Amino acid sequence: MDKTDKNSGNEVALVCAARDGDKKALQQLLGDNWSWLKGLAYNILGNADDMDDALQNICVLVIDKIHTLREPERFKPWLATLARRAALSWRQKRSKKPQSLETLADAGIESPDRISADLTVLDRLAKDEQHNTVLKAINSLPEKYREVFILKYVQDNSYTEIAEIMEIPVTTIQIRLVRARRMIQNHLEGKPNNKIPRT
Amino acid sequence: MNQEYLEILIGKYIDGEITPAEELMLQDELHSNEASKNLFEQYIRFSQTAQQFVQAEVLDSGKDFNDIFNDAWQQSDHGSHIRFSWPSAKFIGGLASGLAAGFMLALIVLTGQPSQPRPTNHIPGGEISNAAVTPTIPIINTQNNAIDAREIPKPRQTVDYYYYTDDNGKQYIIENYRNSNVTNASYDGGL
Repeated sequence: MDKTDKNSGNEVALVCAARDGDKKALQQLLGDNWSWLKGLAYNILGNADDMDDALQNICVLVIDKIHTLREPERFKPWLATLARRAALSWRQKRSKKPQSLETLADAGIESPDRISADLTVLDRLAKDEQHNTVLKAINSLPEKYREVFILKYVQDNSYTEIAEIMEIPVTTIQIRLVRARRMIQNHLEGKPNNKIPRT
Repeated sequence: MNQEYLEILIGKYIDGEITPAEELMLQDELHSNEASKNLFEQYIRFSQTAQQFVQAEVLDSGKDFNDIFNDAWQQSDHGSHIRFSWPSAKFIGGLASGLAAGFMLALIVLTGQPSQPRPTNHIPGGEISNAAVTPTIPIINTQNNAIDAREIPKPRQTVDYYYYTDDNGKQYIIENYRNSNVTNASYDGGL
């Protein structure tokens, strides 16, 4: 049995235990899938500021609804669907909520955690600018391309793993990644992105 | 090699999904075409940068997973739901057939029992007694007032009966055929 089969077998066992109310099993399940879950939430929310609240909502939903999952082997796509709905719902609530002036003022300030202590000030500024530019280019992608791109780069997931999460064929993943990279390159070089293909 | 296929091969190489045959094709293309080589190097540099920035933005920010999970666990109503698991089809089938068989048996047994005698009631001018009680006086035939020496009839499935004693002390047997009963056909032989 290869590594993938072993992991999926473990995951099925954990899901069965979690359905029976085992807290540790559920914690391990979510912990094993946390990276791409964060990537999914980031893709929908568009920034890292509200991720904690949205992720907590996702965890609450998973804890409350895990017993409704009838097919343990379909845990990843089930979790992805639940997470998307929760993140979309959170995004809608956030858009209706009025923001305070402090929040708006702080929005432009970079988090000092991202700045490496080893670089000079100029280097840090250059790196920050590059960081923002690349993130801006990624956020400019259409949602279906952005989702694949983030799921790939957040954890270096394989095509098969991404296909399982998104429930689309592997070849579609390949094509979307190629087009996402091309669009980001064009954005960084200032070239226009032509008509977006359907895939 | 066309641009799109070249980008697919470069993407597969970057993602670690390239097959050996495809890798050979890519190497041939990079050796023979300078523009393809530049594109390849551009994508490699970009991928490394993008991975670093995406991971820093997504993974390195926010609260620790265990803190979020524990907060969520406290907030949820875990364990308060009563999980009903559907029993297997075999069990349900067995239960259903057992109930059906029991019901049929009860129906057969109950319909075979003699009807319970009516409770005693006081009727002006006489009284009704239970058919189950053996009368101490002879039964009088109502048609000719003769004493009927027949034995007390055995209970029959289709007839309710009871004894009625008038004010003069005469006792009568009253029979009442049940309307809803279906009598089975029977053959006594002799044909």
